[in-house]
Amino acid sequence: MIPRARRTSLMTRGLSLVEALMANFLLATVILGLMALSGNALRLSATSRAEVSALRLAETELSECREWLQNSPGALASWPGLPGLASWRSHPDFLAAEYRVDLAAQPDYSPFWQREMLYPAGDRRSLDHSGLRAQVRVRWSGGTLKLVSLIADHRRQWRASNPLEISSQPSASLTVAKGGQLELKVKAFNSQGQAEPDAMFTWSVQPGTSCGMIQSQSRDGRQAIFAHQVPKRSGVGFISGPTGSCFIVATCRLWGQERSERLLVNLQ
Amino acid sequence: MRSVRGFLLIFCLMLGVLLCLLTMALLSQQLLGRGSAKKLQDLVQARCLAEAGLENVRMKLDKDLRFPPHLAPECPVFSYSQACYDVDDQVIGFYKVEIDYRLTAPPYGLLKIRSEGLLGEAFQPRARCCLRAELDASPWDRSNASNPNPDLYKTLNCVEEP
Repeated sequence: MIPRARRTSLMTRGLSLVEALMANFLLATVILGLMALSGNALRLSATSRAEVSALRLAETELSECREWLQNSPGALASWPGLPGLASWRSHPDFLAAEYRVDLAAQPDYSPFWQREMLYPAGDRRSLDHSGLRAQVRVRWSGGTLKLVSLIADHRRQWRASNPLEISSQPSASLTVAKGGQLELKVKAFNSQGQAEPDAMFTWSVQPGTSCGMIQSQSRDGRQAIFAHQVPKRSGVGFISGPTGSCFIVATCRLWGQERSERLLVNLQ
Repeated sequence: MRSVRGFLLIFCLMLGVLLCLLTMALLSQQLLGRGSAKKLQDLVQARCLAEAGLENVRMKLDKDLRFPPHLAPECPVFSYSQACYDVDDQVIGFYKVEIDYRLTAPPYGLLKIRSEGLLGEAFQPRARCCLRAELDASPWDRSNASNPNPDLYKTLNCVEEP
């Protein structure tokens, strides 16, 4: 029979090795698991850096696009032919990503009142040629992003002489019979001699030796109808003025500067 | 002598717990960074929408003789909002513009614009950014009052609301 002290010693021999093996096994398991988690953390970090870098690229390209449109006089008319548009390109400072710039016309209207949007599209005070939608897309191995904004047109100057041109229908002569009407159209011209789109006008009549009235005008003022009649002073209805002449005045404001044009009309 | 049996296991367990804590801290930090990057992208788009609102106001001021409409003396602020579309006509967000023309009269000659960009739904936006701009509405050149203002509606100041 083994003595008790020797039996205890025999039972405990080798336990240090078992203990060390178990400890090693446990530590290896924990470390392997943590390595996998750390890999995920590093991947997340790289993804975040790439996203921020792509965002900077998109911001840079959008601001360059805005600068180009607002500093180039003919940009709004010629943007479909812009080189590099709607194609993927790489940037020398952002080698890991590609970017693409897309532009599109921005139909818009000017709210004389807040209910402008309730009018049919064709009857609104349109500003369909005064700005562009700009979209920059960036793609890299980890994903894509998109930035969208609106860019207003370049500001120009009025044409020095005859900034407004009024045309009439019938155009043969500017003589209006009693009770007759004259259809009017007006355009504004910039310093490059181009008719400025989206300009809005107001009409008025300056009495001369006779008078008439603007019977109606489109909501944007680009067209108007002049009638050789004036409201009765008392009662309802209209009367024609005497034979004479008056001025039809069209006024427009572009880029903060107002211009007017007068048209002499003979009234029979 | 005190028994030291089993200290190695306990030591490994404690070390493992410590390493776990450190790794979880690192992981949560990277997750927060990832969330911040996503949030930053939304904020930048919201700022682009606010800038789109300012550009829209400039388009209207440049071309429309009657803009902004003066509704009544008791209502010196005109506001409107519009959707912003991408090139495929998908709604990206909205911008709300407020035009305050209380200071357009001399001697101030200022038009104050507040443009708020809302990304996503108008009533529950994912991100919002607000820009305040002051435009030069003085009809005369500020340096020489006998000359007309050569750059009417020039942006004098533009700041982002915190």
